[in-house]
Amino acid sequence: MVLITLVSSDEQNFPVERELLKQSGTIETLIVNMNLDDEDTDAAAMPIPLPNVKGDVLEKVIQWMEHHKGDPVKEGDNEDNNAEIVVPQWDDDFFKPAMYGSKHLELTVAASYLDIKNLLTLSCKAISNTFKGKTGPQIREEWGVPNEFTPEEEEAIRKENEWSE
Amino acid sequence: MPATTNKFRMVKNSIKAAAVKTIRPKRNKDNSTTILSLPQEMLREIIKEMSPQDRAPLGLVCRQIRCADLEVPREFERIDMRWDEKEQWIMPSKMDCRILGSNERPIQATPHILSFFGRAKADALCIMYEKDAEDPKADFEVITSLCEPMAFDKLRVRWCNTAIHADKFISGLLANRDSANVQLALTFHFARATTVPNIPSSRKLLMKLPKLKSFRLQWMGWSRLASAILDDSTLLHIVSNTDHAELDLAEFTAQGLLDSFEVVCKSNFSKKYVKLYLSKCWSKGVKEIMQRFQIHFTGMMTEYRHVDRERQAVLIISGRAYDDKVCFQMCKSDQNENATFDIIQW
Repeated sequence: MVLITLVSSDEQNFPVERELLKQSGTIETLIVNMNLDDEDTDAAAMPIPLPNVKGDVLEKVIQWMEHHKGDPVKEGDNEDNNAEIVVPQWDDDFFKPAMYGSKHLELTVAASYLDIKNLLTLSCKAISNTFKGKTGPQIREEWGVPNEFTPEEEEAIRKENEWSE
Repeated sequence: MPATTNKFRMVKNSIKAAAVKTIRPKRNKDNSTTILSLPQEMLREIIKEMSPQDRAPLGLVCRQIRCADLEVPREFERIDMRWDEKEQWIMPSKMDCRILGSNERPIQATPHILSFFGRAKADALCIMYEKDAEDPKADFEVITSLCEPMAFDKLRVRWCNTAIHADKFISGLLANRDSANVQLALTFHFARATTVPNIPSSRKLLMKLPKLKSFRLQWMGWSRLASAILDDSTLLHIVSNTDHAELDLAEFTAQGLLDSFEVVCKSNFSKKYVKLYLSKCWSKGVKEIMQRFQIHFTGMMTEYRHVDRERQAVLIISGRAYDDKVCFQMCKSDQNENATFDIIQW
């Protein structure tokens, strides 16, 4: 089993099974372009630095990839846009503890940076699910967003939106 | 320098190069990521996953989310618009609400409404104009400006109006878009028996129709008078500009029918299809057509076929002795002279 070492921004090393990394477009392109999966190459001697991903986030990403090992990898954006995305129970439980905090958001950003399409889609969907059925002020409170509207602006927006609320 | 070290440096540079193109979150003072520190592209990704109904409160969260919300096109199965004598409303599907207006407070194309529907995608846009206003120009302008930024596959328009601006209304709805991919269903509604169709204006409308994917024309109500709208010229224009037309009662001559059939014969599209009707009681040209094609209907449904084998096309005339309507179908055919066309879900 070929192991490739990923290095987080805080210099933590994570040896990861080569097969798992096929889920990340960014890393996969790099491995192929640099011939890192060449059997004659000492892959362990060439760790891949990920300067935008912290160790604790990278650990979560690897945990997610391990669970989704063997899942078909999404390519491009040509999926059926009308199909509603459902977050599977395992992923929901995986995201939940960190939801509303910076950890989940960093995981989402890491998914984008590493080009892990399935993780990005599910993670975004999990965030959008938290908005469902909530009012603007409720979303603000849950996500710790300060109210930057003046009472007059808020009233004007409310009036504009009243037909759709 | 050892080869391994060299390669390691290249890996490091490659991943840095990739990072340049990647979305980076803005950080808070305490270096944590918050929902507001997400880049706008990611907020759009999140919003894209939401239904229009769930997106309704996003405008009130904060400026950044409000802005991202307005940037992501909303997707609807259909958007219904209705303008009648008493009220006006716009109702997007799957939203338990509608934009309401009245004669006193008409719906305006406000920046908010334009942003809400801006780049909206609807499978079907259904417009009912049931208002016999003398000058509906102002209404048409509001409706066309609201519809202009929307994308749709099917356009269904029904109106009860004899106004002179109708031609501009339909061409306005189809302007600046690839009309050749639009399926248009047009219904003229004659609410009262006394309503006299404005024949020149309605013909002008049909003559201005651009290339369409498919076209359906229906008369609702007093259709005998309306049949005069669809004459030889309008029929020829429609047949030349769409590969699938389902039309209502018409008033054409045998020569007009043959001219349109010639267009079908010449077409390279193997599923070209045109269907329309003639009233035996009211049509002025019916006798001539029956004689020309030597048609004698009986009590049973009878079908006459005029086949162009070389160009693989067929004209089918069907009807019964005691039915008023005679049906005309012109279409391409296969080698066995079977009609080949698609059934369209309007």
